[in-house]
Amino acid sequence: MSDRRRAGAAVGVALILAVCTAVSAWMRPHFDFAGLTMVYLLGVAVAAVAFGRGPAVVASIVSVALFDFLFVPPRYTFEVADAQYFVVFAVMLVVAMLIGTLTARLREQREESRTRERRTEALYRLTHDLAVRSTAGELLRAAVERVAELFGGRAAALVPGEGGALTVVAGDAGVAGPEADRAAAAWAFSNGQSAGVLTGIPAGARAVHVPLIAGTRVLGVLSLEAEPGSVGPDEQELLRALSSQTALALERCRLAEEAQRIRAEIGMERARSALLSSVSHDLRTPLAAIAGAASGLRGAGESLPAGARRELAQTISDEAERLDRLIGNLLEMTRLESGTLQVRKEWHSMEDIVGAALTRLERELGGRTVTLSFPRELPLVPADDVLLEAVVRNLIENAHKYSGAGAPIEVTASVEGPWMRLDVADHGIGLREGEDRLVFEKFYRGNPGRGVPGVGLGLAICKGAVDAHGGSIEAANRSGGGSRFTVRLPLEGGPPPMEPESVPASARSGT
Amino acid sequence: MTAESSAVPAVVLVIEDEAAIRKFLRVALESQGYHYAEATSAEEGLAQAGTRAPDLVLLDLGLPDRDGLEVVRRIREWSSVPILVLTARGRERDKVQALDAGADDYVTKPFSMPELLARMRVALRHRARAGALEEESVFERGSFRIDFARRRVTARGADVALTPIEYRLVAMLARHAGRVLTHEFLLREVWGPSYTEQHHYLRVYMAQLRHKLEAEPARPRLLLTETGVGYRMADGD
Repeated sequence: MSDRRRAGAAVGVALILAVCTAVSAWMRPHFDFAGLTMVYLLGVAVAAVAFGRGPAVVASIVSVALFDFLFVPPRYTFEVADAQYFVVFAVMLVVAMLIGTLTARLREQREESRTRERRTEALYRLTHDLAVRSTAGELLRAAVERVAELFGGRAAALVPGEGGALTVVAGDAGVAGPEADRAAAAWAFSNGQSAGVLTGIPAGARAVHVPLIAGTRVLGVLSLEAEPGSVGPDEQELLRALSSQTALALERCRLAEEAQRIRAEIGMERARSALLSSVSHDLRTPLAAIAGAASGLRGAGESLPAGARRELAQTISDEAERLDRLIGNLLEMTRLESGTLQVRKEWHSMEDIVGAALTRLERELGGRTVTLSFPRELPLVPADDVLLEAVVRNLIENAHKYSGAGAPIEVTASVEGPWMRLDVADHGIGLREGEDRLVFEKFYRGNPGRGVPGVGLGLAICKGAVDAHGGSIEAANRSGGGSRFTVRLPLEGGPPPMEPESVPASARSGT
Repeated sequence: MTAESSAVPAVVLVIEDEAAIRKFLRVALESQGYHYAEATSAEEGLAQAGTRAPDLVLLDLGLPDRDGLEVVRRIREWSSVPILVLTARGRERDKVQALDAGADDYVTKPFSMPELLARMRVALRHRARAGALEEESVFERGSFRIDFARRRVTARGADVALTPIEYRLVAMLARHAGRVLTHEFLLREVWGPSYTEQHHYLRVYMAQLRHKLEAEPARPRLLLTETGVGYRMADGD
């Protein structure tokens, strides 16, 4: 019991006894002693209800003393004239004690049930809170909030981080800030027992640190810093109950994440085998064509007409080129994904890079019209030219593959705020619902049944390369049919200034 | 077509460890009238380069026993024989390093025979010209013409006014027509040694030149981009 509560009880008991004495003094001329003792017994009962067992006992003894001193002759002395009064005192004391004790027990039971109720409600609310959280972070935040609110203090949750050291992941980091409290939290974590202010481990800690234990594993620590004295054994018990609820929820969460990871792994395994069969199919097709054409040339070379021989040779060279492109894409993707790729940014002109891409695609594009629109004063863009050319090439190639023979492809460059924007638009089949994101996934094929060659790497490479530049790429349908791919690359403020060249009247100095 | 229609066939030394590549190179080069010699390792190649006195070396950069770049440097210590390197795709850094080490040009595997033969012809022609006493005074490519003596540039039937730097740049490319010149080389030769990192100068001037000389600047026919490596003046044939 705290000093304040003790002082309150003393004052209360004194008041009650003063009232009893006043009533008794008024009654004395009209009633006998039995009536007066009743008044004091009532006072003891009131004290027991209001302040509990201890004050009731004190009230009993003081009542007997007062009764003796004030009302039993000779009055105003503790002397007793008649021995029969001792019997009255004894009975009065015993009855007062009995009434006091019984009443106090009732009161304790009522308080206990109230505490239990409060605890049950707190636990229920926490459980309810935790049930709707799905990640460890959210869960710990909810628990910390609830604990801080319940105890009217500051709370924090600590879990082991990357290197195994405890770090605050939710709540007020200041709770585990002081040296002693950090040590207490660490002790609680490694020993699986409460530490901190109430346990004296270590001295100087200001907060209570309760381990979060699920089964035999210590998952973290819940720390609470409240008003001194407001966290008693009961409160600590409640805190332990709350923390074990939290730990169980954390464990559930961890298991759910584990299950999710395993599901994802199974999915990846499936994707990998799908990829393997797709890649081996795409590698084998040109190989089969090459082997077939070559054996045809070898077996019947002399007897074949010149036109047929040329055709077979052409097949070999076309298919070899296709195989080369496929392997090139696979390598590029691997390099982008492995993170070993170095982006060597230099200042480049978009026109130059698009031109290089078109030159390289010349044969594949055949007679396809590609209209280019570049403003005359387009700034230079910081980029890795090899990667950016691959992006442009793949976008144009994609537009070519997915649009009808005569339909033009439009390539437009422009400045949009701090970005260099490049659009590659076609009049092709467009994107289906939801495909605008899917097309950038590895091995995704739009309309795989249409006989369009490829393994679905081109756009994934584009995305990887653009991301590596700190840019963005998106796909959308055009209002008039067909699709538009938009690349944005950061201009990074433009190149350093150039020394101006003094322009002579004419370079035709010879004329 | 025969090897530069010269009376004595040119000797081509192929340094390549892959038997399949050597085989088709031998067939193709001999059918073109070249005299074919081969080496299967860097060590053997260096020895052959000394004893066979080749007119041109085709060097695979991915040899098992030694770094191809080192072979280029070793040959350059005593010979100016044209060296064409064969590289894998996507190894732009290797190409630049080989060119800087003294190689004349590169061909990316897989390559087509016509492409390789064209590069070889360019390299042999430059070799022959380097031996001549005087440089040619006029460069012509279709309707594009540079009169070096008079510093006069004509494109699509009209004189073109170029700034001194534009002129130096286009003249440098024309003098090495058909050969790729690296960004660093162009920056050093046209602007000076302190400019080799200032790529934006080269981009801006190339764009200006294309707008003055090309019919369609975004689809150049004269001033070709070799992504990741440098620029090349289109070869005549």
